Amino acid sequence: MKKTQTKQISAGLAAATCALLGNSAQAAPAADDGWKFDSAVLYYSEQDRVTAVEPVIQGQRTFKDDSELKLKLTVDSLTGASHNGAITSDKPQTFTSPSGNETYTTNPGEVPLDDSFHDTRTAANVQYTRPINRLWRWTAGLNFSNEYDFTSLGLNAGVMRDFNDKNSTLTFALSHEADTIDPVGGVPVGLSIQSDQQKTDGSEDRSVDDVLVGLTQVINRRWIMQLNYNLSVTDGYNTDPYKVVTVVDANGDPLEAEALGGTNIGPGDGQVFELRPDSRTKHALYWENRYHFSRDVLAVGYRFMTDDWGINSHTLDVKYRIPFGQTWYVQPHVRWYQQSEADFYRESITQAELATTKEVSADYRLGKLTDMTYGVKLAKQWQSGQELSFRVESFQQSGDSDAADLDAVIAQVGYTFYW
Amino acid sequence: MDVTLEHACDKESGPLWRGRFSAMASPCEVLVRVDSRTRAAQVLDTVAAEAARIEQHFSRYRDDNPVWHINNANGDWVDVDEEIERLLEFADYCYVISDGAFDITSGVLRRAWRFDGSDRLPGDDQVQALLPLIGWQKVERQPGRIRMPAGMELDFGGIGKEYAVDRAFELAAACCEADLLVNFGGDLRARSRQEPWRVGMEGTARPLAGTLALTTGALATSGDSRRFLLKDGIRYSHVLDPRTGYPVSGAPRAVTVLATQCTQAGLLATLALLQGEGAQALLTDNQVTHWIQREGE
Amino acid sequence: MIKIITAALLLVGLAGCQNLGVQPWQRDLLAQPAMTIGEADGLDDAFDDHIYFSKEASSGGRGFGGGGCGCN
Repeated sequence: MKKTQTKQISAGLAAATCALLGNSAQAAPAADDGWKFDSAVLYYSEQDRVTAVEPVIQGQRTFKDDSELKLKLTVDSLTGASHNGAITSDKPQTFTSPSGNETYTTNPGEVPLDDSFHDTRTAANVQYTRPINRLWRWTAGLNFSNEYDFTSLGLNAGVMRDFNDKNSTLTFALSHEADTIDPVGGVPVGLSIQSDQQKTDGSEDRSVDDVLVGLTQVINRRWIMQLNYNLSVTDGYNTDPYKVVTVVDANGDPLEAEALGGTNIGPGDGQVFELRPDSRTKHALYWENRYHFSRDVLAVGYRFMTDDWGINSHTLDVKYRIPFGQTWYVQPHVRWYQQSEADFYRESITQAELATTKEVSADYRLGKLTDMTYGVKLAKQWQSGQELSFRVESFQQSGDSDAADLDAVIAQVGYTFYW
Repeated sequence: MDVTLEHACDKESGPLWRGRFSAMASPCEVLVRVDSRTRAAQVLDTVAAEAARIEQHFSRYRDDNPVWHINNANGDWVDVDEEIERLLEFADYCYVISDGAFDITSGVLRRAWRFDGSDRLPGDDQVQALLPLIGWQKVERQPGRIRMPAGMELDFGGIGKEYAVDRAFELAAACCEADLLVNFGGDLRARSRQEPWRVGMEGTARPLAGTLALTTGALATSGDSRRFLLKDGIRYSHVLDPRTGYPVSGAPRAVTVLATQCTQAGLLATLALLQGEGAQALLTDNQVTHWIQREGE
Repeated sequence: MIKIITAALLLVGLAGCQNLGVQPWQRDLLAQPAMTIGEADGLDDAFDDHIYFSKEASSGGRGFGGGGCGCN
């Protein structure tokens, strides 16, 4: 053997051994040829506000040609009350219900909530991924979602290419989504006084176009990371048809509708329908890392998002998986989120501002926010690939307005099985 | 095949099961940490069945397997299955990187050399007569078939046992996630999530006395200190160079290598052995963990 | 003894990776479901994306930003 060759035989032999053993035996779990089902029910409950129950079932199958089909069905049932956009005032305020048929009054000091909020959303997703050759794969998917005032139809397609012995994967994908919004009681005229119920019949449209460019990179035997850039352009009706902005006087108290030339329906009824820009361009950078400490696995995700509404946000998501007793694992989870407010966000608006403003929203979700989530997941795995998991999390939001202060509990039961 | 399964011990990490059987002229052992005896038996059956299958498929001592058909084709083309093709491809790779020192056609030299501890060296004419029957380069291959000159023989003995360990290990590993050790006569492969396997290294290469803590990986040993010839004070190792037909000079008695897979470890050990005096250098150059036993040690 | 072996194994590992990444036979840890980006936590990621999409002004990054949801 020549000296120059002997140095490389170890790596070469290892590769030859892999070729000999065909790696298939290594990769294949017992239940490779059947369907894998992930099922779960999510329970989400905000104190005094929305409660959601969301069952999901997802079936996934890898076929002999290495193509993969994923089908997902989601039902999302919401009940409870949600913030209607108005300020929390020490004066009573009067609002019209979304249908326009009723009025309701909130007591002084209360966060104004619209309690007619209940909805059932049904969503279905299909995604198919298929290898083109040893290095390239393509994927295509369809998403459909429907609720009583909203329908969404989405298409996506992408290609993935492996490099460097599959240590690097580049993803390029496009998505187009067409939404139809058909608000209960009609589409309100933005910035008009709520009590006047100026609404147009029919529905509004919105399109969402996304580009995603991603790189997944194996760093070493223990460390894998992913870096994604996501551009998302929304065009059309971005307004929340059920949200208002309180018109206030110099003291910050709600004005009366009649003072604004509107219909009187009760005290503190100077509320105008919000109006948002009809386009939005978002840029998101996402960086995920997974590190294996031989037993434990640490996952850290960070996202920076910025958009032309003036919102910048940072999200940090940390999970730490600790296996124990051969078949169990416990996984603490912490999530931190912070956003700046949109340029057109106001907690309330004065009459003078209303006269000149083009767009305004008092939706606290467009204001300054700091969110914290703490949670833990406990899972038991069986050798047949089944997994039963429980997750409990506490989600706290806080911001500049009272409406932004929110406590919620997230609970989830999941069961994975093969068929 | 006589297969036994016993409950070895209970530890914090769960019950440990030990299965034993005999295959490829070696004692074989499976250690598995699972809760149920049924599952342990399933793992053991998987391993034993794979060992038996590979032994049946590749043994030189049977007349009903593909190797026999290849060796008795008298210069005709013989169809081969996909598994044999992969092994031939691997053997070809080893032949190339070793400059012909590793050659699966070299088994015919056994007709001349019998390493029985005696002083009966073969005559040079005997050795020279065998050399025309050796040489991987004389073997023709096409997709799905092989042809070699009449009288030549293939011998997968240099790869077979380690390959069997890997195959059996991977089949067993795929059927459950348990900690697992597969040991065929000292060539072994193991994985463990936490508690390392304690592998006794007695009787192989020194200075590996005592035990080795192994979580995930494979060990294989090439060489056999009991097989040699001694004449005029010169010890002739059983490691034969297929290019000369004579024992490699300065070959260690045994080389043990630690690697990811058993086949890889086994080949590194064999290639080192074939280097003779250069065994140490080869293994050091490749930065593999190894143990070398030389004469007098 | 164990320490020496660990060190030697590390050397083997390092020798094999002049570039980022690992050889196919070093994927024992990466092959585990917990190390698979996007699949490690099953449906949790999708649930989280949906919850936070409806409670915050950000979306996307992990996947597409659209939510198929009238909640925002």
